[in-house]
Amino acid sequence: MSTQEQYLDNYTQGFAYSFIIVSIFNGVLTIFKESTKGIHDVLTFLFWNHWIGQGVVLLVLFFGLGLLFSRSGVHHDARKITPWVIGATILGAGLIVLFYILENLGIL
Amino acid sequence: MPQTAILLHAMLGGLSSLAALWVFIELLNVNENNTGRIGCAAIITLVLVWGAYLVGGWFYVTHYGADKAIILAGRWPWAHGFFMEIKEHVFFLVLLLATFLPIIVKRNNLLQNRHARNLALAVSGMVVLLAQAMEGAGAIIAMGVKQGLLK
Repeated sequence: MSTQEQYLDNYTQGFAYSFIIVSIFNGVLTIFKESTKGIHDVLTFLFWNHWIGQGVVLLVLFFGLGLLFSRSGVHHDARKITPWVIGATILGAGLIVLFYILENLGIL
Repeated sequence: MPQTAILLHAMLGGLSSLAALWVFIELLNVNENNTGRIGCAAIITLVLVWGAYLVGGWFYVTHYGADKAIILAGRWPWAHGFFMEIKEHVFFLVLLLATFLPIIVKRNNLLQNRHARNLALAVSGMVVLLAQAMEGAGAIIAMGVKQGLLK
């Protein structure tokens, strides 16, 4: 496999890592925000609306981490990136879905 | 205006799913003649998803409260408690994936780099599926409002 085939572009890798982290963070943040009044209130206080606040936090993290990782110069085997991105999406969405299933069933 | 915004939000969401599908199919048949189209379709997907986010977000923070009260008092309270709550939080993944997609297709040689192609296929495919899920959830939420009004 040639070098070009083995590695992804710096920005692609950087934003892939950023997406993986932010996707899982979104799931965890959603659970804590909806479970604890404190986080919900802080986001509402800072951004007028908790959902706007969550969006701003996620986007700032995504772009910030993406640029940071892009410039770090670290390269991983490109074959691992796609499964990680898919896994992070499933995990991030899955955490949210599971939380609301349990909440609507009265378990949480 | 609020109802127009909701229709626009749903329309932009539906079109974004089609645009992402366009990217996906072009990627399956990537050649020297369609790499420009792939980039163009990825940008269109990005613009449509962000459009859906901004229009829907405006409606959500300014007008959804009234709909929420109707849903919760009606026969389908889970239309908000389950479907809307999931939709408003999972949507961020669609936004991030749609933002990531143009980076992949523009910054890599899709003809030579199989892994970049696979990543772009995965990301565009997930945008298609998640956007469709958003559409379905939105339809249930709208029906939840109707169920509340018919009570």
